[in-house]
Parts: sequence; C-alpha cells; structure tokens
Amino acid sequence: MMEALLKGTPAWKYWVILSTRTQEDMAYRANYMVGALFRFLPLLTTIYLWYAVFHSPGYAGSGRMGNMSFPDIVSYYAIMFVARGFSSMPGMTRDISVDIKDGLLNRYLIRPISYFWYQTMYRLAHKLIFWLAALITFPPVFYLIRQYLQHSPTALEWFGFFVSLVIAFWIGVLFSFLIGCLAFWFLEISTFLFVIMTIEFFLSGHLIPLNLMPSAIVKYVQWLPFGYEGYWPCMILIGKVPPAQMGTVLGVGFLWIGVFFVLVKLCWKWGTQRYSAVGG
Amino acid sequence: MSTIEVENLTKVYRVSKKKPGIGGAIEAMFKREYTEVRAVSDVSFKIEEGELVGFLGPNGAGKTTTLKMLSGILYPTSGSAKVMGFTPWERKNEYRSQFALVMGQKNQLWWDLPAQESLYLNKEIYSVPDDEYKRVLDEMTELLQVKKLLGVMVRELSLGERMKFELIASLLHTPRVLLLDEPTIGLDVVAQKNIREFIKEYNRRTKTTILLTSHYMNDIQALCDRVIIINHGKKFFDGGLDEIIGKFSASKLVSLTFENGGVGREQLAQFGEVLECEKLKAVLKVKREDVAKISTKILDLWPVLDINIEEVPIEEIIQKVFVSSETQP
Amino acid sequence: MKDFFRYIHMTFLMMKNCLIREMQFRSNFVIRLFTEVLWLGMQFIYVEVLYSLTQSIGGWNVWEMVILLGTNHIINQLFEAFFFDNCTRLVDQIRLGDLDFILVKPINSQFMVSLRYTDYASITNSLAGFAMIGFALHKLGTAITALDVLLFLLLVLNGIFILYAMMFSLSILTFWIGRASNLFELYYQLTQFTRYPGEIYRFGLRIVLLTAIPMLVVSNFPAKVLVGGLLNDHLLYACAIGLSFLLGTGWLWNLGLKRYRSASS
Repeated sequence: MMEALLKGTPAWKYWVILSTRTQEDMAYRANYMVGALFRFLPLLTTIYLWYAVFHSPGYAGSGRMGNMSFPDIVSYYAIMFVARGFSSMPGMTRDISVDIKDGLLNRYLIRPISYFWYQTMYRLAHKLIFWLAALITFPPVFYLIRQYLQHSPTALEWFGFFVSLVIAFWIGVLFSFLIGCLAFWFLEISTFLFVIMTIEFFLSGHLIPLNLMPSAIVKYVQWLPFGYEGYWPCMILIGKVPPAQMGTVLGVGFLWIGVFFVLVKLCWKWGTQRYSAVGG
Repeated sequence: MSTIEVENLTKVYRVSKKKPGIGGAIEAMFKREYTEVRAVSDVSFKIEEGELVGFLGPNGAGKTTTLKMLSGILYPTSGSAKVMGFTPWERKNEYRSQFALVMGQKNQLWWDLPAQESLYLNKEIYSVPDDEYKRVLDEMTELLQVKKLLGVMVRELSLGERMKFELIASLLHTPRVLLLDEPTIGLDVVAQKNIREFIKEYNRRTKTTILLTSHYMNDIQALCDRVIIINHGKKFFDGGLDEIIGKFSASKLVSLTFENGGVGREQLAQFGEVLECEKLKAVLKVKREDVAKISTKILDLWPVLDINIEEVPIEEIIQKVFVSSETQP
Repeated sequence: MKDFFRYIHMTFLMMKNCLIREMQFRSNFVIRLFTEVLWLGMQFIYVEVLYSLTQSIGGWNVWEMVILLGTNHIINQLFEAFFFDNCTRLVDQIRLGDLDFILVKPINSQFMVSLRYTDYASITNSLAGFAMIGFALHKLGTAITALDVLLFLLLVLNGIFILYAMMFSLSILTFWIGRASNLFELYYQLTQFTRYPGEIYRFGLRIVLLTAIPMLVVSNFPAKVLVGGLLNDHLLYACAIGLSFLLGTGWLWNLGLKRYRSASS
C-alpha cells in the first residue's frame, strides 16, 4: 500500500529504510515484548520511595516539596516515560561516531541520501516500534496509578504537551547527532560520550524534577535544552505551567531546536570537509 | 578399535522462513514457518591412527559440520561418533586434552597481545608441563620459522604467520588427533605451501591422526593418500586419491604433435572430443577404454612426432563429481 | 582441590593479559573514573533531595542511606569489572557461533566466557564507594570490628555473584531467543531494586525481592552489616541464595549449550 502511495517520490527511499529497520526489530519478537513490559519497573521503586518520604515518621512539611505534592511527583515520573519515549535516542550517537570513525560514511556520502535524514528516519522507525508496543503497555500502567493522576489538563495544557513532545523528539535527535559529529575531530570519544549522556540524562529531569534541584542552579537548569527532553512536557501536563508562561516555555524550546539545527548543519559541513580531506 | 569411528552421523537444522515485507514480519511474530536443512546425512567412515585423511567437498557440503561434531561443538541429530573411544559431544576434559581443532581464518589468539602470551595461556589451559612446553615450542617455531615473531602483536602478523601460530597453539599439548578446517584458506601460495609441508612433516614425525577439510584440491593432493568426498551432507566417495581417477574419470587426454602438415579438426573429431587443434598440435579427450586403439589408429594415419597420454586434471574430475552428485538423489 | 587452584591461576593469567592490553589504551581510565564519580554524585544529590523533607526513610537515616549507596556502588562496579563485559560479549558469541574454540578446550566453558575480560577502570571506581562508606560511618560515629569488615566483604562478594547469576542467565537466553539487546535493559531495571532500602516496599513485593529475584539481598544485606540489623539467619540465608543462584547458572549454561549453533562456514 505504501509502495503504491510513495513510489516515485523522494520519500520512497526513506520509507524503505524505515520499513526494513522495522522488520529487523520485529524479527526478534520475544526480546521485543519483554523489553516493552519491563520498562516500567523504576516507576514502582519511585512510588514506594517517595511514599516512604511523604509518610515517614518525623516528617516535616506541608505535604509538598517545591510546589509538588506526592501525587504530582508520581504523575511527573509516570509522564516522564512518555516524554523520554520521544526524546531518548539510545545508541544514536555511538552509531554515528562509529560510522565516522570506521570510514563507513562513504556509502552515504556517495548516495543521493542525506545522512542526517537517514539517521532521523531510522530513529523515527525505532520510535514507531516503541510506541506500537507502548500502546499496549502504557495504558494499563497509567490505569493502575490513576489515583495519582489527579490533575485534569486543560485544552491548552494538552496542546502544549503535544507540542512539547515534538520539541522533545527534535532536541533528542539534533543533540545526539551533534555529539556524534564530534567523531570527526576526536578519535576516541566513547567514554567522553558517556559523560555527555550522563549529564544529558540528569539535566532532562529524568532522575530528579528540575525544580527540586539545589536552589543555586534551579533557575538556569530549567532553560537548558535538556529540560525539554523530559522536564517540560511533564510539568505542562501536571499543570505546573500557567497559561501565561506556556508561550515562553514552548518558544524557548523552538529556539533551541533552531540553534541545534544550525549547529548540526555547520558541524556536518566542516566535518565532512575534514573527513574527505583525510581520505575517509 | 579405530581412532575415529563415525556411524550414520546426521545433522538436521531447522531454519525459520519469513514472507517479505512488513505484513510478513507481523505474521512471523505470531506464526513461524520452518524448513529442514540436512547438513550432514548418514555419514559413516573409520580412520585409523596416524592416517592423514582429506575431507573434500564444495562450500556447504557438510564437511565443517561433520568436523564440528567430531570436535564436540555440535550435537548430532542422530548417529554416533567415537574419537579415541570418546563421544565428542560429551565434552569430557579427558577427550578435550587429547585432540586439537584449527580453523582457517578463525582466530583463537588474543588480538592485542604478543603471540607468546596466547601460547602461554593455552599451555596453562592444557596443563602442559614447563619443560615440555619449552621443547615443543622450540621445535614448532623452528619448523615453521616464526621464532623471531613470538613477541609480535597478533594483530600485526600477516595472515600466514597468524595461521602458523594458530597451529602451534593447538599443538602445544601434542594431541593424538588433529582436526583442521580449511587451514590454507585465504593464504598466499607460499604460505599455503609452508603450511602443507608442516602438516605433512608433523604427521610423519608424530603419527598424529589428522583429518583435514578443504575445497582446495592442492591441499588434498599434497597431503592425503585417502580422500572422503562429501556433498549435500552425503558421503560420496571414500578411498585413495588415485582411485578417484579410475572411478570417476571416464576419459584420458591424448596430446599430439605432428611432424608436417597439420590435421583438420573434423578428421580428429571422429576419435574423440577435440580440445585443441592448432597448426601442429592437438589435444583430444578420448574414452578410457579406447585410448590404446585410437592411439594406434592415429599413429597409423598421420606422421606423429610426439604423443602424450595423461589423466584429466583431478580438479576437473572432482568438479564433475560435485556436479553429478547434485543430480543424484 | 588442585583443580580449584588451577582455575584461580587461570583467572590471574587472564587478568594479566587484560592488563597488558588495557595499558595500551590509557586515556580511558581517567575519563571512566570521572564518569562514575559524576554518576555517584548525582545519586548523592538525589538522596539529599529525598532527605530534605524527612529524617528517615524506611527506618534508614541519611547517612545509613549513604552507606547503602556506597555499598551498591562497590558491588555494581566490581560486578562490572569482572562480569559485565563478558556477559555482553557472550551474547554476540552465542549469536554468531563464536564459542567453538572455548568448547574444545579442556576447561570449564562457563568459567572461560565469564572471566575472560577484566575491566580495571571499574575496579578503581569501586574505591569511591569505599570512601563514601568510610565518610558516612564517620558521620554516624559507628565503630566497626574486623569481623564486621569480613562479613561485609563476604556479603559484597555474595551480592556480586547474585548479579552475575542474573545477568549471565539473561545473556544466555540468547540460546533460545536470538538477539537479546532488551535483556540488558531488563537487567538494568531489575537492579534498580538493589538501590534502596527493602523496608519501603510493600510486603508481597518485598518477599519477591528477597527470594525469587533477590535484589534486596545484593546490597541491603551487606549494608546492614555496617548499620546494624543483620541477624545470623540472614547471613546464612544470603549465602544460600547466592550459592544456589550460582549453581543454577551452571545448569542453565549446559542446557543452552545443547542448542548451540556454531557459525556456518
């Protein structure tokens, strides 16, 4: 069906890539299902841990931390799964750096196909698979924790949420690609990559909600691009972003996309020049 | 009891099939289709101690699969095999300390280390006593002329040198049975010759039973008196190299050099297949039984300066054997 | 007995080989140390955030929690040092049929595939955990005896073996289900449960985490040696679990080998 629709258009080759990769992933079915199911285990730990905090003897506080209540926190961590389902790009940076280091870029450079779009489509395929399984696994989990999902998002908040997910995907792809390009200049970057990933992970709000960070850094940390990979989508949906602020929040997100896009274009240009000069 | 006894050895693989496209992929997630591949089919043979036997067959014939079953790497689907009285796939330590496996183009040496570190590790794995290790190592490195290379990183050795060290690594414990899988594959002509000479010499000196697989005729011709031909998992032939010629070669080559005036193609064609016919030289392929009769006739008819009668090159014979075995059930 | 020493000797030999190899790539070391300290630091911040509202979580105060953190760090690092790499490589070796050379040698194949490579950076990294524990003990003012240290180390070793059993078992599922990339994620998710005090979990889950998937035995038990609350029964139980899981891997390995498909040629 897709063949009939797309063949002859430039998008066709990207569709073939997408579907080939999708088939590859589906080929290992058992492995696939297991992964989808067990991604939620950390949520269990989180709930128990924060429950223990909020309900411990000698607990001092008004039931809130920052401006987050216990239900807020659980919702935050649960929605983080959705957000990260859009922004995390496992293995992308490594794949790119390997392609560059091992001189495998050649087969992309000589074909009328853009390496960046190839990678993006590949990642899109991955996300497709992920969300296919997620449609089966996410709803039951959210149903089980429904007691904590106390905030009913307004129409604006839903809209803001979906926009922020798009932003999350693009920031994820662009940043990973950018870091992968470092391989054009540095030989051994695998461990350096790990440092970057760790920082990105931390600053996305995945481990700790950014507004709960030590007061000294809270202000700055929220506006870094990484916040859009997790923190902001969650905060929007649990109602922590007032309508007045929504525009600013999303606006800065798009700004970051623009910045990264330019950086990627530049790096790619300089990088491939250097690459060809060195002989690939 | 023979050193190697194989009886009705069979190995069948189940391979899953998938229909093309995404639709097929989704279908495959719920229902799998399988086909059977008979990699080895009812193979039987016996090998005595000290023999150097060649396993010949095209790619995918089942020779390596058989070898791997004799090494204990694979379990057979049915049938039995005994090497030195042991069932290989029971993987008893007693068995494993007495045989060795070398596979062409597959490395067991540590890549980023000098060759001798890998050799020393093997020594410890096989519990070879220090003095014996030193003796065998000296002897082997001398024979293969790689003594100077002991301290070189394995990744910096040439393919041929690596292969030599692979051999040494496997022979440190002086195995009674040596299984070689395509040992000369990928090597240049000189290296191939060195390896072959080494294997022959080693077999002569130590009377180790050696089973070698190859799809190079040169390996087999240089080393083996006895050849087992395998194709499509079935044993096709088991006997001496010279027997192959007699059994499978229906013709001989008659090379003629004429004295003056040539002979036309059509005139020669009545005696056999004309392979070459130029000026004063001609080569005919003649049926075995008719060689003497035809030669006499030709000598009678035309002034022949020189006549030479040879076997068809064994390469060609084997090729035919492989091809004809495909049409057989 | 002679066999036991032979295997210890082999372990040292392979460790030596790895060291020679690693010394060729030096820059990695420092960066790895930095990365792990970073990661540890982030967890420390998390603990701080948690304790900014309360004095006790599941009966553990902040410094006791730090001890748990440090213990967990040590166990994870040492596990990574000796077993993690080997398990990940094993998946490819099984898939690509690269186990041939190990299967033909007169040595236990599970031993060879499990200990072939050693990651020295992780060994150094574990020291950060020890430092953390030392600091926390100082803050708590606890005095510990030599016996405490011994028991602690014993249970740390036990914890490492439990992690090994888990990851190894997951890795060799490759014999049955092909590519196992998601399996490592499963391992990662399950080991999350080693991080925090068992007391926070509800009864049913806690039982599971003490028995079928003994994540709480891994880090909680050794930490309790130092913070108090570990009975002799617990000690025996921990070792029994560790041992039986270890033996279980041996059985599973042999089962998997029967399905081994060597690389085609």
